[in-house]
Amino acid sequence: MVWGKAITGASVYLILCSLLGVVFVWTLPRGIGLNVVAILALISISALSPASGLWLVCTSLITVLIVRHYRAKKFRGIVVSSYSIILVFLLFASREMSNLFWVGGAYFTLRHLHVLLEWWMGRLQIPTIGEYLKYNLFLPVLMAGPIHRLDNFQRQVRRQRITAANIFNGAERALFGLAQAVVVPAALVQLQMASAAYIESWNLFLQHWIEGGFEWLQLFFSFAGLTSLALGLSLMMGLKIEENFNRPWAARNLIDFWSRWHMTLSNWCRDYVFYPITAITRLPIIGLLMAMLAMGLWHDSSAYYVLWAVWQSLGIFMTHVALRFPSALRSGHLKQIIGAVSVYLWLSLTKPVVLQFLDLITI
Amino acid sequence: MTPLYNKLARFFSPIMTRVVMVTIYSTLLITIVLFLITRTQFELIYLDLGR
Repeated sequence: MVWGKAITGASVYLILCSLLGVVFVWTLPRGIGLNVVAILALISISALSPASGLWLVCTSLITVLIVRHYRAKKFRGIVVSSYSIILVFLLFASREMSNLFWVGGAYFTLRHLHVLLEWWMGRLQIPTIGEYLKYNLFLPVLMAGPIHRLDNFQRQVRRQRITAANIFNGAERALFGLAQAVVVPAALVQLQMASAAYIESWNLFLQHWIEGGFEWLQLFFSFAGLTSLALGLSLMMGLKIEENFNRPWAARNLIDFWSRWHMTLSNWCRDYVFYPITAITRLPIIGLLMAMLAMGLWHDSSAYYVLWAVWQSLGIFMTHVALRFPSALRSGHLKQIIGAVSVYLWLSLTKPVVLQFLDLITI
Repeated sequence: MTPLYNKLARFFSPIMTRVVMVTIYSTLLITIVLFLITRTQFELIYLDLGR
């Protein structure tokens, strides 16, 4: 039950719309190009999923009106927390309405929350309505993130440069990402299907373990590919958006892994969940558990992801404990390999352990 | 510029290099979309587009 990502007809449609957006950015004057991309994003997302288009525009307008027009310091916390609860509720409610097709809700909800929380902490450079819509309706990142930050986006818009180098580098990155998202996961699925017949008679725990190992690899290649695609298309529009992956399989331990994997989401959870909760409770373990819980529930609101969060928190806690003891290994390479293998084993164990535990508590 | 561009620039004029690059990119894009994405995958209704 690992969340899946795939290149389908709908994603190809959004990629083609983004390419059209690139053409608009090249041909129209600098101040207008990204506005047209925002309009194009609204039209394309509404054509694909009218409910998502309406949801995105309404929540964007309410968020920007709050940060622009609510001047009083009094009750600011109440306004932020009530509206945040509504945003999270809408996200969870959309998942229950499976008869409707949804696009991008998990991403733009976190972007709204980021802006609201920065405003609450007094760190936000207040955007105009147009700037905020341009930020939230940036077509290349609607599909699969990254969860880019408003301040970086505004900086990039000010520095936007349409050069041949940006266009060619962006195009190559986007093509590489598309190929990566299409070819490697498909090959891994074939391999998994071939191995399924072989391991059919094995213990269920082992079968889930192998499946879990395949799923993490498939997820990495499809998600990293989609991220490269988004970053490449953004670069073709002259903007450098935040990276999402920094060679996660080269991580030395699980803590290192979570600072390299889906970095925009990990940073979001660190800044808006881990730090505040740790500051309030003075207990980093509670902050860690809540941050992983937020990360898990962001993927899917189910018991599986609650236990997923507990398992990942346990791994990080054990890594912290292990790091207190001096390492017996001196060789850098051997240490690196052992670290990477142990991270992969821990991650692939998530599925069998969680499913086993769910079986135990449901009996 | 990219390594591919630098290689091609040895043989073509700057304008022709760009034309060749765009042709290569378009061919790759069409190849991936038409031949590498399976029909079943293409027709999937449900997909995790950041729902």
